[in-house]
Amino acid sequence: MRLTSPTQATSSVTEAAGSLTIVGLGPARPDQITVEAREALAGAHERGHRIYGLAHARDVAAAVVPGLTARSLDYLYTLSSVDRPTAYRDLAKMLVRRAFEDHIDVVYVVAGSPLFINDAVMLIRRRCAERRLPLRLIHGLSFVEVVLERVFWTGHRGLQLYSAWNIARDDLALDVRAPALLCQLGEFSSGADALEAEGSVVMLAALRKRLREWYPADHPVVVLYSSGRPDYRSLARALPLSQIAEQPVPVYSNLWIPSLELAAHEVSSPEEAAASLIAPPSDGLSA
Amino acid sequence: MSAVLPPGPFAAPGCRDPRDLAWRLIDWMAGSPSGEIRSRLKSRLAESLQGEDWSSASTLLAALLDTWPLSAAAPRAVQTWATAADAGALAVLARVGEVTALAMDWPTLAGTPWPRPDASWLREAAQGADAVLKRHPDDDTERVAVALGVSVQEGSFIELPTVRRVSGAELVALREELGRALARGEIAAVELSTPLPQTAAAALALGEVRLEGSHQQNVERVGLAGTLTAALPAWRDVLASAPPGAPGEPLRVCCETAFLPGTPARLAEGATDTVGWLLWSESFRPVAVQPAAVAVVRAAEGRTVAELAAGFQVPESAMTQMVATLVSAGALTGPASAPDGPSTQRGEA
Repeated sequence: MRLTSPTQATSSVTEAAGSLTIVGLGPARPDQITVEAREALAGAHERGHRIYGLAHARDVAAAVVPGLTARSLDYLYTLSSVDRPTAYRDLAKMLVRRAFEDHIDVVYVVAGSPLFINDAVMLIRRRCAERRLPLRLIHGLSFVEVVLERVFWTGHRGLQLYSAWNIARDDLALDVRAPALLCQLGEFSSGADALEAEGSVVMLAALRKRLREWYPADHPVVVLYSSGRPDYRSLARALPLSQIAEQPVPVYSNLWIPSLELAAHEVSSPEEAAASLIAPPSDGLSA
Repeated sequence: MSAVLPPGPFAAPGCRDPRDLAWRLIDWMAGSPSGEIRSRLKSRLAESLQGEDWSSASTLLAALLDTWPLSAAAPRAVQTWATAADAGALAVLARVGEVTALAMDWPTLAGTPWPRPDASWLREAAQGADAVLKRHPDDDTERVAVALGVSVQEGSFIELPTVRRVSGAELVALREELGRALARGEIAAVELSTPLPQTAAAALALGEVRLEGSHQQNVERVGLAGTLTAALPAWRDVLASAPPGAPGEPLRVCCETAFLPGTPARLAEGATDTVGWLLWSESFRPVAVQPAAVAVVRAAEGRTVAELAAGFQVPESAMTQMVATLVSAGALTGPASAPDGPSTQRGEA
């Protein structure tokens, strides 16, 4: 007697060289995805390519291509014995192996731009470059464009882009003459608990202590974050540097630190922004 | 009767064979939740409470509560399973298997919820058998043959999607090979024969196996039967909330009730306060309520709110609110939705 599952009976493997495509999906909203990314996802779904992603990226991909299901990589964030650098290395190695040793067409969907603050993508790119393996990279809108919507930055004085961890724990220094954007503000740990927002005040306190070496306590800063589902509006909360550790923030919040000299020009409260009609209407949040 | 098939590894869907003890077992299990299984679970729960074995008591209480929805869901699942390998039906059969094993204090086939019936059950089910037909390496045939005092004969083997068995210690070394085979659909799942080492490499290797195995989660939950169906729903998701009753008087009772020592979660922590339960012999989730609510339900049949308020000596407004809550929970209803006479009301200890 032979009993087979419907799933297995219909599965097939294409005997091809395999391929690896990384698709940036933009910050959150399906309408912010590029035409190239949309077409690539639709084609991959139609041809039965193996698609992988973390929770948020999977949701966006499914919203863009109905019926698309991506394999969940969320387990990488739940293994208590595995820190995030190890998880990213493992993911990179596994996806490259799946594509070029197992000869399967692989698509890895990522939030935002694949090239901004994405260690796993960087490791995949490096691995493919070292082995001369063809990697297709499809860009996505990065978080930087979205968060800059809530502040005033011209680029004339440059921009320092770091993670909060870089400043609080890696001993990197900021130049007070130029504005700075610190990302992943709430990432207090490299362990599996890194996404717990309640732990973010630990990072914020460490960051405040470090920033006070260069800026006064009343230096205006802006916490930049997203309203979340369903609109993913870009929100801002202006406050003095001394108050940044008063309450938790989502891990993927950002901190805008204007230059010492032009702080008044580079920071605008939501009320001022609304009044000037330069930025979107206020979300009702202010210091 | 001559030769019989053993209860293991599971009842093959779509081919009900009268010689098959696996089918006899699930038929028996499906017919027993409200009878022998519930009765035995109550006894075992009492023993666990007596011995202050809270972990065991919590598991037994959850099983006892599930005998109500299983009494309706299990017979339907057996009917479905007889014609098709259905994931929802398998989820129900797996739960009735777990509950039965707990009630009867039977072991289960390794890594599965399928009970290994004791010798007396086997002898009764296989009266007149003179041989057991081996049909799978993991079908427990030898033990069954010893219990029945008969010989083992080679039967027609069930061919299933391939499940590769490896030891926990081997998983890291075999990771790439297994990941490839799973991703290419050459095997459906990996079965670990020994515990996984507590290392990061082992955790990552198991993560890849679960990521790629088309039936990995199913097999980890129900064993080989899981290779035959789509993704299994969680047992709790198989059940629905009871539909709300209709307004009106006199009231009719639509559920059974019980006073039990806690909820499973609270009992696991040693809290044995009496909790009222609303229970349906349908595929509905049991609902925990205040004991006073159970007392009201037990008194409600054929009564009005005013009569209940007078009987319990509470303000009518308070009783109106409680009855409204019980109607919305599907425990009570007005006459409009219950035209066929007294309902399933029955109190349990």
